[in-house]
Amino acid sequence: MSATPDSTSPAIELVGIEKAYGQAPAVRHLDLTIAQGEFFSLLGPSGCGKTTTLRMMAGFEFPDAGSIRLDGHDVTEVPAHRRQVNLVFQKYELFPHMTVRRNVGYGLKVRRVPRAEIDDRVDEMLETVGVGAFADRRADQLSGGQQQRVALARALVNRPRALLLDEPLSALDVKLRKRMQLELKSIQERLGTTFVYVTHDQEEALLMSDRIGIMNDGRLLQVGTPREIYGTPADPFVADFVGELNAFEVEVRKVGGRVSGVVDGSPVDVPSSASTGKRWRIAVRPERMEVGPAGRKDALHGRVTELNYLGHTLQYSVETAVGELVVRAGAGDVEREPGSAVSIWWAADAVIDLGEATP
Amino acid sequence: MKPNRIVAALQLAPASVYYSALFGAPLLVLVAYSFYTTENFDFVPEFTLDNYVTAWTSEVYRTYFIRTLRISAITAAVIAVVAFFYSYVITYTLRAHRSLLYFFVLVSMFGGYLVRIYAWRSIFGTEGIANSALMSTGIIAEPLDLLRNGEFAIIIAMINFYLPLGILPIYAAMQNVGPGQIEAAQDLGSSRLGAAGKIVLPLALRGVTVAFVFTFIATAAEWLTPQLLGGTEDQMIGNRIAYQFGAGFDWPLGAALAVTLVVVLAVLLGALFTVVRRWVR
Amino acid sequence: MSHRVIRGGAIAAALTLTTVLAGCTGGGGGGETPTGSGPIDPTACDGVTLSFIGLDGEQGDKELADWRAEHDMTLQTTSTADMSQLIAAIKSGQQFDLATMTKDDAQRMVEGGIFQALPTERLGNWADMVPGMAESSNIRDADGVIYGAPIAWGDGPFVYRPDKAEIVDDRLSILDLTKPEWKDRFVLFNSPGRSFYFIGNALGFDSPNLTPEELEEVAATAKTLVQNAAAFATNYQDATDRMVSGDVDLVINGWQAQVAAAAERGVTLDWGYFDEGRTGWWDAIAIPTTAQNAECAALYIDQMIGVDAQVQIAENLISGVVNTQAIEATAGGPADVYDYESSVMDPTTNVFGPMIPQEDVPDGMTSYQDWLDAWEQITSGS
Repeated sequence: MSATPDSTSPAIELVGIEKAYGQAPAVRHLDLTIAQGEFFSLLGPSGCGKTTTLRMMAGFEFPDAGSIRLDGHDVTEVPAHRRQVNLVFQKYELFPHMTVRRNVGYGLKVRRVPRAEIDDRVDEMLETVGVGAFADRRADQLSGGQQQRVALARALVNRPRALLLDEPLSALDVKLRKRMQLELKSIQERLGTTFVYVTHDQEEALLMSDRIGIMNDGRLLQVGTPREIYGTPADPFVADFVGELNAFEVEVRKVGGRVSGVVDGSPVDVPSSASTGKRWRIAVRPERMEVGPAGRKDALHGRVTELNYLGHTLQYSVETAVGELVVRAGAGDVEREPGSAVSIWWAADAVIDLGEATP
Repeated sequence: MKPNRIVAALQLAPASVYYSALFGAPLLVLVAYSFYTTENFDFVPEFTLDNYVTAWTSEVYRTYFIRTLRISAITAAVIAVVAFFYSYVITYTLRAHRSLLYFFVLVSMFGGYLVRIYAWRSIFGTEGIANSALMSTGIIAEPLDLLRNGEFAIIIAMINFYLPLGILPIYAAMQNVGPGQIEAAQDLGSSRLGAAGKIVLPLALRGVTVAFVFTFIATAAEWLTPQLLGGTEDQMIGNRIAYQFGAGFDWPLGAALAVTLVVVLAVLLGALFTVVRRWVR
Repeated sequence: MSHRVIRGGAIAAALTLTTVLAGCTGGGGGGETPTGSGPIDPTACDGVTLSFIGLDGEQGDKELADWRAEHDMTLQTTSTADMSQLIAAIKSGQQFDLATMTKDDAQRMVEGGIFQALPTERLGNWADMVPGMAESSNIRDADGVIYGAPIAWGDGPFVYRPDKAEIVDDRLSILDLTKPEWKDRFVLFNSPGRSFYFIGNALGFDSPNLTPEELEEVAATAKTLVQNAAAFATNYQDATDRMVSGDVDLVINGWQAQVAAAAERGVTLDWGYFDEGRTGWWDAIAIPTTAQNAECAALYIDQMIGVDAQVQIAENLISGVVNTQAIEATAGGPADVYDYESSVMDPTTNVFGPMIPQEDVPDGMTSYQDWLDAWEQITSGS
């Protein structure tokens, strides 16, 4: 199969994908379009169907219904070895009996690329990912970070229409992971290759992605830029899964001609969709909450139970009538000692609507 | 000696004693015998090379050795190939059922050698199950020579007997090659078979070699199978060795033949290991 | 019945340290020899434990059970079908009071010096020994000293399936079996003895005394015979199995007991003799040089050739009796398949003559080792 690059088509399109293992649905009616050159992340908890979705793109799994298009060509039934995408495996899966060079050249050799061209492309790619010095080591003699880079090179050297990455950084320690995140992003930008990146690490997804798709229980809940996902989650699950959240219930009433949520006797802003006489669930992110001296009007009242310094921010735990809330403030703010009474408030646009509370 | 060396030595002691007493010592005695002669049922401990001259130069024994090596090589090669694919299937393709399939391998070792050899006896032969079935279905009109007692019957039966011996090392070796590595190869453009050949085979090659060697050695020393399933001209060297140690009452010649077999196997298999090691690199 | 035996001992057994050492020490001796004179004391076995080595079923286990009980005697059996193992055991000095001695191995066993002379004049039942056995040279050494008492015999017929092979008057020449119509239809044992003996006679030679040139001719014919055979049978049971399953129609080395065994499985077998003669077998018991209870062993042997034991042994083994007084008692029984007049009752028949060259080969004649070498050449398939 040799699809001609077609930059007018999306890189990958999934239409009405259904996939079940026996009776257990893994992916339910999934539609997704990934643009050329995009860094797209599939984010969700383990078992949400993100890896299954990725493996269907790679050709290791086949959907029960729906179709998959790559550069506008239907590849739904095309097996992995004839699909022009490459996968970076979670455990790298390098071939331990081969040198780094032979590992990276494997795909080109299988596709019968001329020897000289293989050598050039392999060398170039090894330099790109920064493991040129280890070219003649055996794959099993490399550190985790080096293996990661070789795995990346082994996939990218084939110039895939899209690079699929299955939690590629999860085996690395935190420091290395942070560095690789930035490197991956920069490599992607340099090569302009479409990346589809599966992760359960929301921070990673928010940091690297152009767009993110949030999955849970086999469904794609929301697709958007990191800002959209974080700021205006379309779904309680998304809101809860991405970033930290203070969620609580309020009673919706008209207070002074405005529809407000009443908490602890104080009116707070509620979404416009909230209707009076109902109980509503709302949420506010810790960094959108403000904390100040006790006694402020139209605010929640509570007492600081804990104060933590997180480098550039202060993080309070505040006991309130709606439960314990987490509030973050800039390090320059006045510190509120544990035990002191405080007021907590937030701007109207900070409220995330979680819908009517179920009794 | 450092304390941990002493511990290691103590741990090795039972196995060392076992091997030297039950394997090493008789082997040495066997070697000693091969330089003796017999006279009137007594061993004459006068050094002679006559037995080796007979073992190495007699056309009769050369025929037996060549036949033995041929039969064993074919059997071991078929076993290595079949065992590789069986191990491949239970490790990767039918991974979910691998416990059961592995159990089948072990089950096939039950029932003992004699029961199975007699089962094969009823299959092969002029009126064996194989020929009878083919004739009653009209596929053949006359009994096939191939399905009578003979080399083919010996090989088929020995494949059956020794297949587990081949599967175990290959299966064990394959456990070090994750299904992910096969997927990686496929992802890079190899077909399933290509991945089996380029990735699984080299990684499991040590196991395949061990399987070949195990089964080669085991079958080269066979004598019961050729006796019961062979025709009148398909006896192996093991039959002659058994004869010399039995009714022939020429233990020195039997010992010389046995030592010769050991040496020939050691040389051939040593060469095989060398070739394989070079090839893997 | 040495020929009922899987020829060729186990290598494993040969490799065990005991037998290995056994071979080294060589030479036996050190045992007790019967010293008394006159009839053996009938209480010689009271409270004694006898040890036997040899063919299981030929030690009087069942047949003399009552007698042993009466005398508070115990019998320990070491079972082996391999005369070479038996020889090695005695040669190594292991103590046995009784041992099997088979007809075709008898001479080399006697020459090997593993047995002591049997005091036949002191055995009450020896007087009734059938003449063909009592006068046989095979139980004697060159000086005529007797070493063993035969306890069972047979006349070595071929056995076949009459429903599948038409054999007129139950007679066949060994040469018939080299013809194409017998291709893959018969089995034989993997030893040269009987085939060479018959072929030698068929070619007009004086088997088993063959010159090298004659042996060459015999071997050439034997090669055709071997190539015509379907397989080697490992023992009588194996040969019976192959005939019952229909795989083959005839076994060259037969035994009348096969007929009864096959009948139990619903297959009719019959037996006949080759035109080239009969090659009878007998098995004897003898007293090893390492015996500790030689007096009792001699008494036990006397019991084994007595009428009561003989009738039972014959019916258990489908063999012939060696006691003239027992012949009558077997009539109509399962062992009533032998013609005594033309065999054991007539010392001049050659039924129990040597089938293979014996120890002292006349000049210019081939030895049994020559026969074995020729056979090895034939069966190598080269």
